[in-house]
Amino acid sequence: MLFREVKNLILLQLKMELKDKNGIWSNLLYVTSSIFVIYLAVKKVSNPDLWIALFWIIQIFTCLNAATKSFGYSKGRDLYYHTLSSSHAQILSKIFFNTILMSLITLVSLGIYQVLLGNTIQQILPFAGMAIAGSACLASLLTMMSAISFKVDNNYTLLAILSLPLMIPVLVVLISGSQTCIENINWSEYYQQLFILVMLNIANIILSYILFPYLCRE
Amino acid sequence: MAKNWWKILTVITLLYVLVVGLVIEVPRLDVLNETIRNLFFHVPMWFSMIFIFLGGLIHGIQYLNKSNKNDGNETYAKSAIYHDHRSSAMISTGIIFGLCGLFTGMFWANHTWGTYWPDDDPKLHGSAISLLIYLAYLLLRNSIKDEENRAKISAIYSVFAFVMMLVFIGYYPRTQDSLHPGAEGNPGFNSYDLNNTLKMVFYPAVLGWALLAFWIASIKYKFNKIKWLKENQSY
Repeated sequence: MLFREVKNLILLQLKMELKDKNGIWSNLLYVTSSIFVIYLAVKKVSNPDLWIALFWIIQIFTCLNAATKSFGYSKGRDLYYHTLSSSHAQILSKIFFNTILMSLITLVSLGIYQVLLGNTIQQILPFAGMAIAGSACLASLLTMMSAISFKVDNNYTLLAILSLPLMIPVLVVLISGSQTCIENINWSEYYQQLFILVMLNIANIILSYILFPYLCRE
Repeated sequence: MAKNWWKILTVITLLYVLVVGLVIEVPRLDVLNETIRNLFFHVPMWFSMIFIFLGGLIHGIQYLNKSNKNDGNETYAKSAIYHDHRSSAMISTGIIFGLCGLFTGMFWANHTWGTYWPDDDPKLHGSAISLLIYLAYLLLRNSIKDEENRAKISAIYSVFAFVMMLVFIGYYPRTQDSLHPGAEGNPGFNSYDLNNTLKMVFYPAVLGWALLAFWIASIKYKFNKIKWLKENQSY
């Protein structure tokens, strides 16, 4: 029952996204232009640590930007969905939809980033895996935080205030995980970081699942 | 008086810790020397911080449970807002203790490691990040005007904050190398390193500082309560 509700809500959001096209294209434009600015300034980044740092800085702000749109298209429509589906299904569908969206954006931007700024990371496939796990984790965190800030009205600033400190822990893990991919990969270290990310993601989803109904209640 | 026995206990244990902790004969270890006494001040700060954040979390959850059952006619002690006042008092006290823990640690680090903030140490990252997360809690509370909304949203956020803190103080440092004492096992200290003279002061210190934290929180709570009663009831 819950599964079907979640599936339908995700499909609905995908349809709306394809109809609007604004959301995803504005995010891609955002990413591409930030990467291009870095490219204009430094051309090829040969220091791998710097390469990773710039990549994740771009990713945080892109994810933050993408998350602002996850709630509150219009008040009336949200209220209408609220009468049709349970709040559990709503938060799960938003989280999964954002996960898909942000992983997609991350992969596309990784491609552009690598073409413009050079192949500094040797193990690009494991790095892409780490990037997807990371953006999934950021997506689940940001979805709940944008739900909170949507309830508080002054949307964007509060989202940034709440989620940046919560994102830093994720980024600590992500950066040390990314650094294992620089040259010869140390698989046990890599899997350990990936494991922490997946566990964090699961914890975020469970917390959002439990707490979102309290947030919806008027 | 009978209700306040724990406050007397706090004063006695803290006096004991301050006096005995500073005059007792401590083991002479390389590099550490006299700075080992920081064990009675720095470590209990983090312990108290975690205890009091846990208290804040429990009151936050109780708020969420009660807020939908209340009809607005119960006494203050049974209302949901009581838990919100308790929880916010505890969390803001916990932040002060966290800052004290950070500063005592930095001071100690300058004497033993030669720098206030060594590069790339997961335990230091974890503690700084947890404090940032809780500082965002304060900002969140300040930015919401409506009382019920504020209580509800900050309770929800405090659950997130607590889980993230547990991961980044309790779990993540165990997976990484670190300069900090207790590199294997417990991130705060290594229980095998403690000899009996240290234990004699260390355990009372944990108790004393934790009780002090709850004492400060209870004063802060009374302040919240009086302010709320003044605004909400017409005498």
